Amino acid sequence: MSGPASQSVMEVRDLRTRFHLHGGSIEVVRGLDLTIARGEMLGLIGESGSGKTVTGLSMLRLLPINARVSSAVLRFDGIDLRDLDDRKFQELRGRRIAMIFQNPVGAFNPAKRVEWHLREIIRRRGGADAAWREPASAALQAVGIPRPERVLRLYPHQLSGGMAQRILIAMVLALEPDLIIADEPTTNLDNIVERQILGLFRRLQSRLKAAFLFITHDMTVAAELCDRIAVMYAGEIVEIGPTRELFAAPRHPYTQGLIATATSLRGRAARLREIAGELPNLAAPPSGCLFSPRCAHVMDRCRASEPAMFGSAPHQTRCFLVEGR
Amino acid sequence: MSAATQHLVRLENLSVAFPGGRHGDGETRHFRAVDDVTLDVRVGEVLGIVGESGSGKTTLAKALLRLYRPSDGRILFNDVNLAGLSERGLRPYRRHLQMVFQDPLSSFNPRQTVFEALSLPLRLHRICLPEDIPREVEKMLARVGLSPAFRDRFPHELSGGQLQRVAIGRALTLSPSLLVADEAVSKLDVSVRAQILNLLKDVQSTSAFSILFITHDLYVARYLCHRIGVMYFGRLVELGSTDEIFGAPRHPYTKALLGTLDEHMAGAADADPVAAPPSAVGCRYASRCPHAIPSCAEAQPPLDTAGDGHAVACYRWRELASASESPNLHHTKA
Repeated sequence: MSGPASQSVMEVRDLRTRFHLHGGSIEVVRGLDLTIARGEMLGLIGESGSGKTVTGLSMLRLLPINARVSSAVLRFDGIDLRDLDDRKFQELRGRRIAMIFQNPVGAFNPAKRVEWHLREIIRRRGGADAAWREPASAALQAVGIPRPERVLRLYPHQLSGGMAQRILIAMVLALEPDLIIADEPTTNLDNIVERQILGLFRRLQSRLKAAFLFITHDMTVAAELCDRIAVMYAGEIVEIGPTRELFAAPRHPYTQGLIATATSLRGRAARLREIAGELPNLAAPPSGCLFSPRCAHVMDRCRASEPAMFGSAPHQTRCFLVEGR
Repeated sequence: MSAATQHLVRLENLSVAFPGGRHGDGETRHFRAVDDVTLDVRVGEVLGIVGESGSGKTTLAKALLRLYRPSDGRILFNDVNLAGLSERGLRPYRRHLQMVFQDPLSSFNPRQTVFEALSLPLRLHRICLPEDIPREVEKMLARVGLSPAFRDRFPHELSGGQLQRVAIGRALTLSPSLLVADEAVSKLDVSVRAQILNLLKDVQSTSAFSILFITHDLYVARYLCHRIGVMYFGRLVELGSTDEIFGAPRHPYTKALLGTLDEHMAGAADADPVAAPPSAVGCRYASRCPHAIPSCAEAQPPLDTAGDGHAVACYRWRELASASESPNLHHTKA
């Protein structure tokens, strides 16, 4: 909570990630800028294949060796992450940066009980002989697990998806990281459990006041949770702005389509709004705006040249329709 | 719901049991994933089955297709009890009952092209002459919204939405009378989900086959289904038209499910299956139900008629309905 309110915990400029495959390479993150302030939850929205997961993994250096990540700025709390050796980076990831994945059960060591995982976290923070049982139980209770003693004895395969995600959130609570990246953490859960887990994320954030990057394909989920939203398409951010403003007046045709699709399912539309077409093949991207082949408002210039980000912060849009507005 | 509500498939007291407890406390026992379910799928309808993960909805669907062997009960299809047939005896019925799975990629042979995947059922069931197969495949691709260029692609070259289109096409090549769709859109992004739901709605309304649509997403069920059955821990707790289920839900569990749509963070910590194990005897929802009385835990409430085609398995639905009739039941429109 120290420093000016606008100070960013995470700053990314011109992030580019390229995968080398047999016979060529594909750039899947194409010059991405992001900042996340302390206490802020930023939603990163996009379809599968848009590069949102790779963005998170690129920031944390968690990609396989055939990936090449470059950036102009990659700074976490004043630390230039590009300079860090792998060991130092790993220390950072286990202590000050946490990542929550889509498949919660897979995030556990299958051979160890729940208690082992929480003990690891607590001792990493508090030292090798820190008392762990009480704080572990307290963390589990804080995420709505009524009988923590019983759950501490379970193995990961004995957990339901919702339970595993709760425990991961408890682990993040115990860790008190400065940066949290959550990648589709509720996508595999059913409605009831998803609602509960989203509520837990909100409580987690109000307690930790971390910089929080929440990656999801579901616009409505992001709208409930996030302060700002960045919409990603084919490796680029096409629109970014405060949640309320972006929802009330989306400017990019893709954002408009995403919102219309999501709300037509929740409303009682006789027919769902869809965004026709598919993501472009990034091995042979279309010329000009990457969204132009699917765009209902496409103009000649959209096919000729790629639009820059237009508009002034906090609400910016990569679309010629917005230019000069 | 006209007078012509013919049954296509009727499940009678269907149960599916698996050996072993769910959370293993040492003793061997049978876990009834589906417990005494009676249900009709009508001709030409989309019947939704909703419930949390672990409620038995997938098991129900797979048992109907005889991918699992039911431990009890009957599956009547055109007056034939599929539950009693051998694998060989089932074969003539397979083409009438088709399935679309949740994970499109793993439901295709990775070494088969789209053309091979779509032509195999035609060949196996001798639907058309061999020389007509390419034309049939092309027709099916067009029907599910894919260009002919897709015929020579492999599954890994397609996106999830495109693959699900092929999966629907593959199921429809045999002109089935029932399509079972198990969470067929839940792995898809919101935008692609809309495409696939619209496609399902279109093909269903033009060909009038029935769909048994398994989903945990209530919005999706409301959009697509004519009737909805709600499952909880293996039991069917409520069944009714989509309007009835959403407009006048009777079972406390259905109300809780719908409540999650309304007040966003409803239902605190009590709804995790591990946190609140279901009652072993009596109503399975009793341990979580705010309206439970001692007799709820004594015997399983039977499915009771609660109006036209609406059924509910709850001892107290009448008193609860009269107590809360006025407020809070019109919840859908925002």
